[in-house]
Amino acid sequence: MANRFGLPDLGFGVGLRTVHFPHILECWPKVDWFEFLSENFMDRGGRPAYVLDRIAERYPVVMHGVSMSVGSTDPVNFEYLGKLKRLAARTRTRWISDHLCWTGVSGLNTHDLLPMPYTDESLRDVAERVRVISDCLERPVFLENPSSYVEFTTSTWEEADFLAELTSLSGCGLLLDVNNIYVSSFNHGFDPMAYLNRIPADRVAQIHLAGHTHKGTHILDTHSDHVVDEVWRLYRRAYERMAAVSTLLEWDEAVPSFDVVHAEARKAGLYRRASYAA
Amino acid sequence: MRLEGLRSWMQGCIVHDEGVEAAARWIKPSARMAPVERLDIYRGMYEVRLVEALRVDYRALERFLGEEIFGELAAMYLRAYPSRSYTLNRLGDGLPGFVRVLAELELAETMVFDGEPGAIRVVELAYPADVYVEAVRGGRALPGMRPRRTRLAVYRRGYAVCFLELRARPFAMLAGLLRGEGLAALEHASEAEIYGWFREWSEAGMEALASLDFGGAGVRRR
Repeated sequence: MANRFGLPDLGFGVGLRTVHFPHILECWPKVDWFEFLSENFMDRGGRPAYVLDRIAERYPVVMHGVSMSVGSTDPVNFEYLGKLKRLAARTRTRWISDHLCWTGVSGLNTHDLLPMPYTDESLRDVAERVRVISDCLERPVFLENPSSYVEFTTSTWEEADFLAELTSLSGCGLLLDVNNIYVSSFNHGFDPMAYLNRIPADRVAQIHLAGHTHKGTHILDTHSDHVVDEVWRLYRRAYERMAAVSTLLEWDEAVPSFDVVHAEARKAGLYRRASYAA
Repeated sequence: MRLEGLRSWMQGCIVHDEGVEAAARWIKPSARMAPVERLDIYRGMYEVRLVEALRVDYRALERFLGEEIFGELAAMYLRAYPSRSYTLNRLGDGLPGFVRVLAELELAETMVFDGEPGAIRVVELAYPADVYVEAVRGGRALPGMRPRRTRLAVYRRGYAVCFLELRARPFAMLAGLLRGEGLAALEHASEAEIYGWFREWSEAGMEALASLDFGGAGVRRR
């Protein structure tokens, strides 16, 4: 199924990390596309901006943010959105994504992707906020399903249903992180495949893959390792349902060489072919 | 609880160590973890992640202070100055000023300690660093601090150096007197106010009062 936004399948991309800048500038590896963290470049000139501009000249790029805070109750930060918009224009970014979460209230930023209570009230509030943000950016926003470690006693919606309803109410798209589904399913005790099957497939333009850290009692979404088999199985199922999606591999802690990260991203191709063959 | 209330509560737990005892009311247990243990994941990650970000921005300072002391400084700074920016690039903007406040207060303390009997100084700080200094002196647990304009008299009582927090008007008057402004320093206060302030300062053991030519002014004990 194609996504309803008419966005292309960019192939298998890699999250842009500064530790890989020298390798990329020297070797110009054959990567399908890059995703970069918006906030790392919004206010910075100098070498980071230079490198990003060179990369954006050669590869398709997509912006992924961590401070849009669509689940906050603070006023929308239009200064932030203005900078986001200018950066998107400069880099000719294909789409802009962030997370279904809040990062702070009362003007503070915890710099964490904090989970929301899934209630009728929060659904209405987030949908309105997403509409305002999309209008400001003049493009749809793509929201990533979060990984989380707590569930609230006040929640009355399952996360997958909340996301589905949010897309309908706000017009937003989804960035489906299959590792996050797995992490949260272990932490909260739900069936990850059932979650995946409730996601509206035509709203998904991108999939995230990453490794995590299993602590026994819970799983931390650390992006610090290879993708585990259970997540690859979820990816295969996701691809069966969502054909025109771009795939991105994230690696943020103990980041190995670019070639290792890129090879992990390209593994996704094997699961896609398995999906076709199935 | 409405949305903003739940968020404020959770943020308070993470940023200010406040309200954690209410975890079971708002967070479901998992099959393996109690509500407070689940909340603690966020609380623990907050400090680790942001201290790490400061280490990146202040590599030489960390090397100078050592990993452990820098970590303690950074954690204290974060409690006083939680991030208000959408970018971590601005997280450490206030760290030099934060260190400077502590150093300024300790310098004032040293000057008064080494001064003549009745030595006194006044300092105006961006946060109540005296609370921290007194905790260090007493070997007590180090407190969290929030930014708050703090006006202090640092003075001798015998051989002890004391801190006394002053409200804005008595602080301005005392500062004026110490600068040698004489009567001009008193002109914005009533006689009753000046009498009250001086009485309180005297009760606090501020020996410096004896060396002032004329009086009035007051203090608020913390």
